[in-house]
Amino acid sequence: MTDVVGGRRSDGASALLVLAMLADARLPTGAHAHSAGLEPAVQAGLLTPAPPLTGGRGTGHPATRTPPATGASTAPRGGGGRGGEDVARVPALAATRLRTVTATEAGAAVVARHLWLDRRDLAPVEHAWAARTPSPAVRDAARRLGRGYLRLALALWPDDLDGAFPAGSAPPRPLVAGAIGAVTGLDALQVALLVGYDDVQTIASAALKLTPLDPATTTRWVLDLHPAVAAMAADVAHLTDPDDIPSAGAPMTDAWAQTHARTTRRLFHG
Amino acid sequence: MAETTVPARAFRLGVAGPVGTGKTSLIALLCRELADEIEMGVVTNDIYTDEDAQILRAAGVLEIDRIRAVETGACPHTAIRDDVTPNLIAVEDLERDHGPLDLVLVESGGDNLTATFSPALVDAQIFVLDVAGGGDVARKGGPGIARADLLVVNKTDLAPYVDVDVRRMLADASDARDGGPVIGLSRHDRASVDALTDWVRRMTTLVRAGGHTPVDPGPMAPHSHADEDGHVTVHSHEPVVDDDPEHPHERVSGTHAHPHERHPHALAHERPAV
Amino acid sequence: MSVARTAAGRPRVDLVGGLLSGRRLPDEDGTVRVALVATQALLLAGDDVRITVEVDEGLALEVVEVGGTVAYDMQGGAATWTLDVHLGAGALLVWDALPFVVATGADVRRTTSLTLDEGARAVLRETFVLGRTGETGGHLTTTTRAQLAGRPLLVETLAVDPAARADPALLGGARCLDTVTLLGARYDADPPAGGDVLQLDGPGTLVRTFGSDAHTGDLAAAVAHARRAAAATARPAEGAAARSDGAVAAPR
Repeated sequence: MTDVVGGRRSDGASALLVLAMLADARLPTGAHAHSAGLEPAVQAGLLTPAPPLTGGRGTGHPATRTPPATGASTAPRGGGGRGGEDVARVPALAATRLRTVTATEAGAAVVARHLWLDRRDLAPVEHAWAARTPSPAVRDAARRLGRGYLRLALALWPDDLDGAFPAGSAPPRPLVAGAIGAVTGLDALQVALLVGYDDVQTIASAALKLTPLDPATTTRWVLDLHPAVAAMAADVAHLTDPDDIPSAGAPMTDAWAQTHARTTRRLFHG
Repeated sequence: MAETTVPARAFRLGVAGPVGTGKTSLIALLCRELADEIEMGVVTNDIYTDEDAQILRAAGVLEIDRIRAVETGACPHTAIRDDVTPNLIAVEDLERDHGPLDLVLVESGGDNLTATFSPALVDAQIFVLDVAGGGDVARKGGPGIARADLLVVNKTDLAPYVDVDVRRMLADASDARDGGPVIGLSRHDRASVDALTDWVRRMTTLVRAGGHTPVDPGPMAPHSHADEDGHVTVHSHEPVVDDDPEHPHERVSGTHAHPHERHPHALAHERPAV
Repeated sequence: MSVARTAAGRPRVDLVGGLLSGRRLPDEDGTVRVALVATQALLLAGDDVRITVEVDEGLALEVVEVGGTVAYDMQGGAATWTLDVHLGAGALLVWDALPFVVATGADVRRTTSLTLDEGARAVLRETFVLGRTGETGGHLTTTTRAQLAGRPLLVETLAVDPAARADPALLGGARCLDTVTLLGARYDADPPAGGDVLQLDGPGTLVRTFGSDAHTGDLAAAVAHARRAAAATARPAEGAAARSDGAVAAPR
């Protein structure tokens, strides 16, 4: 199947290759320094199950809750982790992220692609994305990733991306992903899959650095999340209006991100 | 002769080497010695973001905001070689905030002998070993030791305590580098400190004048244009041969082409015969 | 309800009631105050509450709630609650709502839309509580859509239900989500204990805490501070253009 995209003819194979290249963890965009929210969660005690907050126990901020001593937990080892660590929470976290932060990013990427196909101004997409991302720490991480992504994209496709973003700017990553999709012949679904897959892989590979795990286990998580990625992408692939970008919030994710951003002792930027 | 064009950006100098060899104190020393002469900035790649940066800030050798810490996601090799984006961003932000800068030092997260900097990130690199790591390390070689623009064997004053023959170690290192520059450094040995700072000064001038080609000390043949003295600096013996920074090429034996623009993938000069 | 300026320059309030009705209270410091009173038991299956608020240029309105809201067991049914707000240039709305409790069996779709013209500000307090005492709680989806001077400022959809409560990344075990939303101005005080201050990309701030019950202590201070920040960002002299970035201008 051939499409004319932004003046360039492309076929299915070349689009898939571009998708593979962009999804590759080796792509030099600085993404290895990010954890898609996993480190903030782990630092807040995600892997160390604490008793749930119940009435009368007080309202200590869950983000700063001290996890109980390891021996007290009876959670199963589940394929890795130190004694008592509930590593199954990692793929669960990824699933929640897919429905919230990632869905917003994927929607923004799809709309950005749609607008850049006609070389239209992307600012409305950025405003819509930012309005749906109330946490400054989450916005900052997305913009830092976007900056690195844009640097590479401009090196690879300078003419096609000319004018998409102000010089030296740090647009959020989904806008860059969408613009790249527009100039490389990716369709909307592929752009959304890229955003979703990238977040899931980021969490899985960050997990290996945060707790002892078998890499086959984390890969299994990624594989098992493919349907959720596909479902999320299918939900947003048809979007063309910034107003329709998903807006599902994740209050605790925001709180974790804010706390993590103030920490100096961390492996990842976000 | 080198054109006197003013480069758009600072000389970027990487500092790599195993954990504990004294990279951070070497950087502190360079800041202490040179910050009054040239405009400097530092980017650190510590594992947990902040520790090395904090040490440098606490040492008071450079304005706090000129020392930037970068997260590397527990991948110190990647951050200086395979995907240098986070470091490039930090260097660019430094230049934006404090520019124009003459020299930016980039300290890699302490790691093993295979870690080397990409030419996309730095124009030259120093590899730091120390005597406490054992004399064997120099013999072992590896891309970091063999091909860095300058090898520093640090903490030479500790040699007696760890039963290391410094002169032997320096000679081994020199052999592993086909005679490339090696400095045996100790804070307490003023001559060695001067040798180091002279090298950095000369490199800064040279690179900013467009005369140095950053080369990835990877599979390509080793390159070291920068070794104007071409001598091994031994702890207490042969004096450092000073060089005229205006005419660095005169010491190179044989005839070579001397391009003065930077070609990241061209080999500008061959190593001078020892 | 609408608050408009009459020819004489004094605010006139029009209130049209249904399930809820408004009662004018005495003005305070030039702010029109209206109490919101339920005329019947709320919130039950099949209820469709719609509230429209319009505040004309330069005027200020405070909505005062007399009682909190409980969304009761709807036994398979559902209810909706829709609030549409339009604030003219330089107008101000303060709505320090009382807790909204989502009892087991409740199923509520809540939507708040705010359109702020240039220089308008809003201070909103929302406290959602999952379940009455001893209850697991029902389901609430609440969407807030705010735009300022034609540009989206805040768009957020939240689920408040047992699944969200159990999800560490959503409510993290908290039964109560308490938020002060300041639009058109920035909140510059320290976060409340155990809470966060989220500066929006545009001029606005969310102040949010998680809790085990609907204690009103912590965020009462935040509401007061948000009101001061909103007041400080009021349009200066009449006729002067309001700054759309919500920066603090000289108070009147």
